[in-house]
Amino acid sequence: MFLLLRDWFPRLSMLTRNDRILIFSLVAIASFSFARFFFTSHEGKEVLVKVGNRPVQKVSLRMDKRISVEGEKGSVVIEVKGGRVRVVESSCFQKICVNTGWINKPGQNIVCLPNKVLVTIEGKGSPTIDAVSY
Amino acid sequence: MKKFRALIFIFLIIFISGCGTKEYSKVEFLMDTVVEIKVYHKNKGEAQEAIDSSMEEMRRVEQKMSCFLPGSEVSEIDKGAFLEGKKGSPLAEGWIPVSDELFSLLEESVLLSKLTKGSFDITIFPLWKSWKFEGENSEVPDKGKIEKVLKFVNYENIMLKNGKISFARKGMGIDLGGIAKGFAVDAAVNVLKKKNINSAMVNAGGDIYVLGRKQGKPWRIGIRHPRKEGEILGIIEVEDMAIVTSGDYERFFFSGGKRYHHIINPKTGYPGDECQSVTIVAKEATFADGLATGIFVLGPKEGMALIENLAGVEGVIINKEGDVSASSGLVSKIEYVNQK
Repeated sequence: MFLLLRDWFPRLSMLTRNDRILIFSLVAIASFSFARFFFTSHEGKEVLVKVGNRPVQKVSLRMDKRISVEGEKGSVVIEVKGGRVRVVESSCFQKICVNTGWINKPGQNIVCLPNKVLVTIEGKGSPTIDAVSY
Repeated sequence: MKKFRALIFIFLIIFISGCGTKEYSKVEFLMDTVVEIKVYHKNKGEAQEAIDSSMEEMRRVEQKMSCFLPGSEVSEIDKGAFLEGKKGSPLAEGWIPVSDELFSLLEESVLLSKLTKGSFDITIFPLWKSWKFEGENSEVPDKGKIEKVLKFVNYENIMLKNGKISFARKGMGIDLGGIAKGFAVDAAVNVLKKKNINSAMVNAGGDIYVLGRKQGKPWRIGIRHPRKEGEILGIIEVEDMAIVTSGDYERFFFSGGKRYHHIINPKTGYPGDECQSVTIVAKEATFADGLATGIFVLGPKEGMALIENLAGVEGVIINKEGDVSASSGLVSKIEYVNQK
């Protein structure tokens, strides 16, 4: 490869051995960062369920599971399935939490204000947005 | 030796590249909503200490500004105003002393009332008390009651002088519900700044302030779609700005087949029906919060004219038909995801 490059860029032969090591290392670091950015799974890893400000459950997003927690007004049922999570049943009146539907990215959350239940996805990955103004 | 030097240089590069800021965050139920504070900082201990202090600051603001918490400064004013003239009431002398912090917020509230022609009005307290937004027990007050209570709602009857407040008529009161959340967000941001944090986001139930940039890039904030739960209408990129939305979807109930939401028009006594949502982008969350509430009631046409007239303020208004309009400084910056 080096011979090929030398044909294209004659001045390359002026580089010392250390220069080459440096260039090679920089290219390697850049490629590694690039690969890490593109190949890291954007799916979250864990679902954290809080009631009030107290964590009550932490489960892997990869494991299908139904979780029932007791909120301030009654029970809230959370379903983890196929790498996503949603609230399926809630004792609240407006059902905003149920209507939020599925979430699957780190940083996303579902809130049931009357029950003070918070479902958050934790883990590495970049969400497309940082927050929603509502 | 040369080879050694090159190796040191390479390790230095690797070390520096791994030395950036990290994300630290905390979510808590506070002020009747969910508050999230996210900080990007090099030092874990400093970041967590800053987050805890700013959460504590928001708790302090809530304890002071809520008209529903007995003993808060605002509820003491309301109690005093109601008992005006009676022995032992703070208003017996005519004027109630107010802390500097609350006094400046009251002045800003009155300014917002003037700007929005009374569409934002903190004297809404007696009216708000008549409405019941309590889940299944929600109810519409009868017409007679609303008419009776409306006489006590008018910001022009607030008198502010030398750090004191008084009301032109007995039975009035103040409710900072339309502005206090924004004020708490600004207070939290000030704490973060004092703690030398320069990249952070404070989000109090959708009332957001973004400090600096997020790892060298602007923050990406979604604007909720007013009619599609869990979906966003568009995205804006911002830094050092507050983004606050008032929408008719947050608290509502149905009665007699009609939908009643929580943003009450101080002039009619009933929910404002000109808009579905109003988003304001401004330098301060306090101002953005009050303005979003006021413009929601004022309506899309006059509201957009007001936004265009205010320096450093931008906005997105979704009218009752669901048509979206954005102010001139924002129109080309919104990345639409989901219109209508």
